[in-house]
Amino acid sequence: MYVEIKDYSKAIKGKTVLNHINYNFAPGKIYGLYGRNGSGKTMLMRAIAGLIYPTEGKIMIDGKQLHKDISFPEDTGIIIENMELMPQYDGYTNLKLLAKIRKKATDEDIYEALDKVGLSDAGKKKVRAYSLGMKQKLSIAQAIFEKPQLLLLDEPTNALDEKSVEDVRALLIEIKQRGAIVIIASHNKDDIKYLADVVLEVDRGQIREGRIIK
Amino acid sequence: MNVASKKRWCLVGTLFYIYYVIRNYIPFSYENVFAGVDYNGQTLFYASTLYLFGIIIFYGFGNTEKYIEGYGILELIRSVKRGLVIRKIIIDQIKNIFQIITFIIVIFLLFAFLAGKKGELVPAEKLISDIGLFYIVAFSIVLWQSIFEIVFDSRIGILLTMSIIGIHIYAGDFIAAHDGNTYLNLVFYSNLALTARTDRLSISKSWMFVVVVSICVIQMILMNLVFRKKDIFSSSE
Repeated sequence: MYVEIKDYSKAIKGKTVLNHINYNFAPGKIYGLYGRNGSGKTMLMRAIAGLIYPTEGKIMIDGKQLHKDISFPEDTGIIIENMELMPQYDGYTNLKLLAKIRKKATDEDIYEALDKVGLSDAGKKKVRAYSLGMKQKLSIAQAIFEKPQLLLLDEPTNALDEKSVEDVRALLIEIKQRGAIVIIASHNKDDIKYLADVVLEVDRGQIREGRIIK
Repeated sequence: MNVASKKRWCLVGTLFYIYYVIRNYIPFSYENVFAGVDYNGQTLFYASTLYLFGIIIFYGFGNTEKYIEGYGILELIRSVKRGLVIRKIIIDQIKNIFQIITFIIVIFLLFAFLAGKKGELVPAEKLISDIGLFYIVAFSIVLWQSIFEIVFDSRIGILLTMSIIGIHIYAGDFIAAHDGNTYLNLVFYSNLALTARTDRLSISKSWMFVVVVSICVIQMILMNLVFRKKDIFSSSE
């Protein structure tokens, strides 16, 4: 999968939040978006996910234009703030319901994803009884269980303990190695340092490649 | 508010409404459940009419918004086209309208039976056209609610939708009071759901159906246009 952003701008209520962005994302890499609050990191992720409509410019996903040829990238996993799973169901049932839409993932894929994030013991526990960390883990499982080619993760290690952070980092590297594009936004410098092949500094709606770590 | 809680409150509201109808709409008729208020009628009947529409709108509260926030976003991004989601919303609204109106009718008949009320039998054709009109007008009303939930949010949606109904009903009064062109009632079409009003109009029920169905089609096109360009943010924004 290739993601190409071509002269993309977005203004909301007269304020420019993304400003003439041109960038290409290649498969098999982890891109770390780094910047202050309000710099445009999450907005950029929303743009790539197809959740917002451009004021100018376009985004091409494997040669198909978002909002013209497709509404959303066809093979994406996403964590963006305040996306809650259904509290009245357990983790497995939540993923099972989502799996019915694309019809790609099997029960095995669901169990594998829950196991990888350390939720295999959560069993039949309803999401409403989950801790914050468990909810975050389930969000990650939701993003990865269909083995997407594009992963957009906003603050993926929020609310996780040290061991879980290490597990998630290892998981993201594994996903990158199978050829997916992984884009993470994080305030956590360590996440960016450890994971990102390319650091993109986001400032006032513009991006530039920062120092390549590693 | 979760679905179970909403259904419980709709049940309470329906029981209250049906009890009020059985007690105050005299003489008893099987059409009283959707009689509403006559032109320039008594204040209490306006209240019960708005209350009836309020139950239906409350039942639909948040039904569209849930597709574009929180968990709905996870479902949305898995749908390749936004148009598919619009179709899902419309089908959901059809099912919801069917559920709530059927429920109101069943409770009404049950209460009437328990209260020993018997009315004159209404010709089947009239009964079907009256109930059918109520369904299609209610469907159009919840389509407005859906559009407002997409453009604004569920709370503003309920406010604007009830305002449309209020405007329609009072416009109907104004037209009737000034011996105006009764075809104007087709513009303020919420009146067409109320048997106390449609029975006075010299417009064929077929025309009423055609007009309201056409409005529904236009609304669905509008909903599609609005949703295609909607920026989707999480609920806290």
